[in-house]
Amino acid sequence: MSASTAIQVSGLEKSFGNTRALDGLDLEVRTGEVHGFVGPNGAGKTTTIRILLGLIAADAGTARLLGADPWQERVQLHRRLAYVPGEVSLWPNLTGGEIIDLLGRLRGGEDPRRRAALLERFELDPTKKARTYSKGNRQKVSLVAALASDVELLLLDEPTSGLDPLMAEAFRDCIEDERASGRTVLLSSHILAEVEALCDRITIIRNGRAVETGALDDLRHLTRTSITAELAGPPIGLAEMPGVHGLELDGSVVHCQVDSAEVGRVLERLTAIGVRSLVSQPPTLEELFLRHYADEPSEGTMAGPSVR
Amino acid sequence: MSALAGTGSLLRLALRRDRILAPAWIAVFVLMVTYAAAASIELYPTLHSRVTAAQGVNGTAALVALYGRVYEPTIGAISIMKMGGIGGALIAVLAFMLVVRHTRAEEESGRLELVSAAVVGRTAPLTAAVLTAAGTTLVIGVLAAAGLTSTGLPARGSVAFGLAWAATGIAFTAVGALAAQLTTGGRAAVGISAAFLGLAYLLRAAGDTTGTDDAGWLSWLSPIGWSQQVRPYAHERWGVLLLLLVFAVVVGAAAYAIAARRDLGAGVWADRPGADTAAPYLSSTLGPA
Repeated sequence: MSASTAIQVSGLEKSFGNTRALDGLDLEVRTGEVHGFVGPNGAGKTTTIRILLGLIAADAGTARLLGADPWQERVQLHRRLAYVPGEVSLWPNLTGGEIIDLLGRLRGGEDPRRRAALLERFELDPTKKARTYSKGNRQKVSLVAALASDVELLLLDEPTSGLDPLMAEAFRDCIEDERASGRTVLLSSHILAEVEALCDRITIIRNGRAVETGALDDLRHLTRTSITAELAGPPIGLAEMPGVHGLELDGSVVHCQVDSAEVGRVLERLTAIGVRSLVSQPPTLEELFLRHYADEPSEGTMAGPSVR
Repeated sequence: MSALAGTGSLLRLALRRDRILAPAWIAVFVLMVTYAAAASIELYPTLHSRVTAAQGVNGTAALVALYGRVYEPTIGAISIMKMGGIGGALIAVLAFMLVVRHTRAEEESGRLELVSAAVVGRTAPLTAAVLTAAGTTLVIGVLAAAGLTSTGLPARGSVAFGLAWAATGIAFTAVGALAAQLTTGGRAAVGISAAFLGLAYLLRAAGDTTGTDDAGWLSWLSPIGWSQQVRPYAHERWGVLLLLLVFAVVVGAAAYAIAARRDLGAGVWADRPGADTAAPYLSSTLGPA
């Protein structure tokens, strides 16, 4: 493990009763990157983050966090990280401000200026009792507390699941700031647009295993570019080309999906026929995701435990 | 000790959350025992009336089962007759409710996850809860001793009574702490503690009614029995307090051993899977009728 690796997980296994939550998970997060941790509900994202926090112990495999063992050196590590859970429950009789300060104190101090700036950014009223907060507002409390502390690593478990689009935007800005100041972020999410916009690299997890990992650009090779072209002549031979899928003809306009490796050759062919207009769209994470999860539908029903 | 990191902050949080509840309970217990003593002093002015009262209780098996025995016909012993057994059981309830409220209930709600992700050791939440519950019962014990003394009862017996209450509270703090490690739900942990208390009370009742002139051996199996065998105002037996404290240490140590090793959110007894479909009585309109 080198200094450039913030999180190194290999062969991680964890079962809850008969449910296998993690089944040999590998995960590597480099220092200073925003890493997307993507998967459907019950894939094992929350379980992984809890193991990284030393809240639960793995059955097998190793996890190293900032060079230390998360279970053994939990307290020392927690001075260097902050966490936002997916389901935030707060003390109903305490105000948002009190809770932010409590969590800040437990973490060993917060920056009052950052706290004020974040409260403003997220438009959170810290004088309200937590019982009056909506899910989104509870999440903001936890986000402000986490972001106001001066730490090296942020572990965020679906942090925007309760935020409205405006606040999700504010959250993205915050993460961009974190990236700029050199912090490492592990962002678990199933909101693909968010991961696509924010993350340097992603790991796709399914049924407790990493099925795909790498920079988004690398992963795009695995999927198809969608091409819409208006042609000067009939698309002879296009359907027979390797890597061309779902060809549709609408007058002189063709739609098709092309394997990324074949895009060049398909374009040559189109040019030979004569192109009047061309629209090509890079594959979205959505498509990556759907391909992975559509492949093995039978296993999908056995997805992990209902850990909250 | 890194396992205890954050205990101070968590203790302040617990006291902040209990800032109305705890003083209210303390006041109820202390006023209850003080008024009971003051009323008894007026009610039994002569030795004759006290001997009659003591014989009346000791001669009725139902009353011995409910309250325990009066070991000496002193005004003190008669005053605290109902406060030793039943009062002790109520202290026990307060103690385990408090400790579960600040441990398993917090864990079940998910708030402990938020807290544990900060610089908080694995046994810090349990320690803060134990200090809160044991501290509350200790305050009740000390103030009860002061209240009893203020009515004119002998200080020695009053201190013995206060300590018996506090030691009972500490013993059942440990019971609550262990129960909180066993189940995944706060209510279940309270239920287990209450069942243990019920058993302890039954054993004491059985022991007290089967013994002749003294508590039978069954009473010595019960923490509530020990609490009464301190015998305030009736040749106090200070050593019995130690029995309660040893019990608390042993049970508490088991709770700590589990808490230091287990996963957050898990209990020793795993959740069983529930039914996957509704039973017929739930799935038809007339079913529940």
